[in-house]
Amino acid sequence: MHKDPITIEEIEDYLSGQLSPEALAEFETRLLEDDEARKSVMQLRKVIEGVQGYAFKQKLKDYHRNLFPRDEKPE
Amino acid sequence: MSASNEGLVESEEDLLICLSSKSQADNDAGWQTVYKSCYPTVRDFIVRNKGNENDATDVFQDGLMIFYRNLQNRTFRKESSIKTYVFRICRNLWLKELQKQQKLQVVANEIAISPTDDARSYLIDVEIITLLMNELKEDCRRILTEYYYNNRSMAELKEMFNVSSIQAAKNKKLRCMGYLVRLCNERGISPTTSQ
Repeated sequence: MHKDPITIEEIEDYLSGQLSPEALAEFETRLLEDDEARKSVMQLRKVIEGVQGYAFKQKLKDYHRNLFPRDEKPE
Repeated sequence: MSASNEGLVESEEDLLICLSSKSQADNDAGWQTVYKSCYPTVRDFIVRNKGNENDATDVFQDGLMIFYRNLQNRTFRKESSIKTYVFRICRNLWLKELQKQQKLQVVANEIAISPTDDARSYLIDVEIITLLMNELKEDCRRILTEYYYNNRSMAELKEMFNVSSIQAAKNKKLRCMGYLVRLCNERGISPTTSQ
């Protein structure tokens, strides 16, 4: 039925709540029927969370350097 | 946002607003306040309990990552002060670590309050993504960070990355995200935890 794999763009529109009610209904129907699409959504959600965690961790290292410079870890 | 001379946020209420703020200045002020006020207690606890300063930094940063995620998921219910909450997460992470190193015989109900599998797999997912991010070009790392972490609009990304149009900025971001997802798939190490 849905031969084309779902795209990152489609998933992001869905995750950010940008779909119209009709498009949302269609997307959700597809998720029910299409295991691959469902896996892709879960994966992208995790990857986005990972990117945010990665960026936050870089911040934490900066904060540590600023606030506790004496016990900075040798790299 | 009211910040003191040192750039630290004073009231707990303001602090919570800062921690979720989309303004980078407020966000930095909030997290630096948490870092400065919570780290010494956690460090003292770990150093008194068979750890060193490096252990303390690692555990504390992992603890703040879990706090950050719980704020995003709205699972932080403000039942305790931020300081107590962060200390408890870090304490549990450290007890779990000692248990893993078999330096501590933890009683059964202690295990029940240890970090959830969900929190642990989150930390592992972030480690995986960090490894893969480091394989991307600097430009891609930056655009993904600016978009997903700093919540930049496409118009801002267009200026920052000096591309010709908003659509071009969007395409660049999508291309970089595509590389990252492909790396996950190629390595067969896609983040696997359930929601």
